[in-house]
Amino acid sequence: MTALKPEIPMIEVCDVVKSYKDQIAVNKVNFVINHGDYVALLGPNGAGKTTIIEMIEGIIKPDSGEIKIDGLKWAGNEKYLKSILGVSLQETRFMDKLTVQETLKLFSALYNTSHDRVDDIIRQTGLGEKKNSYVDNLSGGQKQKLAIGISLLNDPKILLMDEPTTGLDPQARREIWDILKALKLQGRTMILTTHYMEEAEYLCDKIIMMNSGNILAEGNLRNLLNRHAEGGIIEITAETEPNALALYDLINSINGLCQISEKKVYMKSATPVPLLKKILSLAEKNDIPVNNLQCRSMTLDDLFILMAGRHLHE
Amino acid sequence: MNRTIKQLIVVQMKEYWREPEVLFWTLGFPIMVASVLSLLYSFKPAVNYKAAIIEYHARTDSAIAKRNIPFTDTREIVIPGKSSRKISLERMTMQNAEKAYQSGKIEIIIEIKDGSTVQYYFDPANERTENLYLWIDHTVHENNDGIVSKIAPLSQRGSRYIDYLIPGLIALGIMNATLWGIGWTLIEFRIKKFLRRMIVTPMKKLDFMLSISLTRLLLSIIEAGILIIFAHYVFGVSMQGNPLVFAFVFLSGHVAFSGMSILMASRANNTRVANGLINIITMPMFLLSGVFFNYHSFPDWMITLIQYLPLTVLADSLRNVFLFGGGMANVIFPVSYLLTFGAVFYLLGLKMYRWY
Ligand SMILES: Nc1ncnc2c1ncn2[C@@H]1O[C@H](COP(=O)(O)OP(=O)(O)O)[C@@H](O)[C@H]1O
Ligand SMILES: [Mg+2]
Repeated sequence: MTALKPEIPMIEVCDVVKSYKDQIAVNKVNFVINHGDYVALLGPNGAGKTTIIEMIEGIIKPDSGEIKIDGLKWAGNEKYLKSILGVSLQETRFMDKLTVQETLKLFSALYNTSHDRVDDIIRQTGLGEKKNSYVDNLSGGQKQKLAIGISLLNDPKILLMDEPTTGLDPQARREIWDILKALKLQGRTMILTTHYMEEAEYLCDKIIMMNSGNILAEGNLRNLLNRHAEGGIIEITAETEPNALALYDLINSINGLCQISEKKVYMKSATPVPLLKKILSLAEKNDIPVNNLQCRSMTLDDLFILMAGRHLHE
Repeated sequence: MNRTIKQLIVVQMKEYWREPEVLFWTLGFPIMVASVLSLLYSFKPAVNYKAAIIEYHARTDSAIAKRNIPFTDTREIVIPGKSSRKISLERMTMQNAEKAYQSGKIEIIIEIKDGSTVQYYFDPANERTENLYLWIDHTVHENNDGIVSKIAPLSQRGSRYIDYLIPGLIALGIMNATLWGIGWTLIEFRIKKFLRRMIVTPMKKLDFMLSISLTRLLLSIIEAGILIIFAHYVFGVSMQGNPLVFAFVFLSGHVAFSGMSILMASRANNTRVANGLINIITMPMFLLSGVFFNYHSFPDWMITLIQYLPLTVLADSLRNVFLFGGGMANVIFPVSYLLTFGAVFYLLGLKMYRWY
């Protein structure tokens, strides 16, 4: 071991709480992100992802708790911290009647970076053909690429990407993933928020699952799934919702970890095959018709349903 | 000027020029209003003339009494052959007559110097008064021999409606450019989260506010410039006072309304609120501040209030310099009022300002 001093985490979030008038948006959240990590905040709408990321960005202040970036708090370090953060906000719109190039030039002035940077960014984000188009005339994917491009102008150590692919078609999403993946090779750290499990799985080393302002689970994909479900997922679709409810009560009496969503009942099991047999015979005995039956390996969405009782995107 | 401010001004100007509708409404609209209103005004049947007879002493009185001059007292005279036209004569002192003349209430001053000299004060460049003079003088000579007529040219400034209107439109332009330009832009930037995106850059907030204010100042100057040039060539309206004093008043108006706009925009985060707020602020001033019509016909208690409205102060001061050649001394109080007003609102606005 040659570690002389402990490495400072890039981002530390410590007991952070933020509430709005009528609700707690972020509830005593803790996590640490190391240099070079790509981390996903995965959760449905309203989970508190944007609130956390905007507190890290220094836009809003936590009610309590502490945030450190590169070992520093916001107070007194604004200038430095702004220079190392690359920010892409959720749903930002730029000036409609400016071109891509002009928009980049504006932000390059705001960050006081060199003019060459603008051309680099246009190349990096593949916006070459669109550089003289008005922002107004860009597709959703191109606008998002521009937002990412702007976040790269100051050559940031840390990227904070709030839902960079929400609402985009699969093709555009792919292109953005490629851009973000390429940035990882340059040794940057990233926090990305999303409610697409594929995105978190594809891009990130570490996944933090959130719901209603709380962290449900965190870790890399493998150990998240392993820790929470060896074996597999059983998904039973009943004929009607009352049937599903009856089935749910039955299964709950023999297997505690079970969730219901409309006509579907889910459970995880380390030994799915014997459990399936048992459930089927119980259903038959109680005269509950079953429409469909699945036994498969677990996904992040399954895990989320088991823990939060809802889908990642509803 | 630093790079941030310069770029911010450049992009706002570009966005402005690239919206043809906006361009039309801000640059074309005042010209249209001026043209339409002055057209309406010129159709108004201004058939009756108004003239002032200067008070004279008893000594001249007796000399005049021997003469047969019909223009010696307050009365109305119907012009023969043109029964619909009348001259209203009013006796007043020379001092009052000059005031009335300059504010357009009378068109000619008739002074009977002694028993044999009549002096006319009017603007020979104005065809209408020229005719009036010719007719009066003809009548005087018709009935009397040996009377000497003298003309004292007296240029009449700002008596026409268009003269009155132009400085008012300039003031109105400043108010609209700032409240819609600055206020609306700030609110729109907030709604689009563009403001949020900008404050995570190292941009200084003061630079941002300055750039927004300077952009609108620049646009207001262009707008007013076009209107002034148009009014000069089309209506022969020209500035009587010192252009520098005029610019100073203009600037103080811009400061006052910029402050107001920033305060107005400090919180609003949707366009309906923005729209309502802007209308609530601009409408009363639009109607009351005498941009289009003199506010002195309102009841006295209202006039007192109206005189404190920033648009009134601005329009009156611009008019003072533009029409009556008022100097720095005449506008220093209103200008200080506007500057103070702007500074207070600006500071309040910044204090309350929600950047995200
Ligand atoms: N400005 C705000 N005022 C009131 N409530 C807010 C505000 N911003 C967020 N919230 C609430 O806080 C919760 C978390 O929101 P957010 O962080 O935006 O979630 P996410 O980004 O995960 O969708 C939501 O319930 C949202 O309604
Ligand atoms: Mg969000």
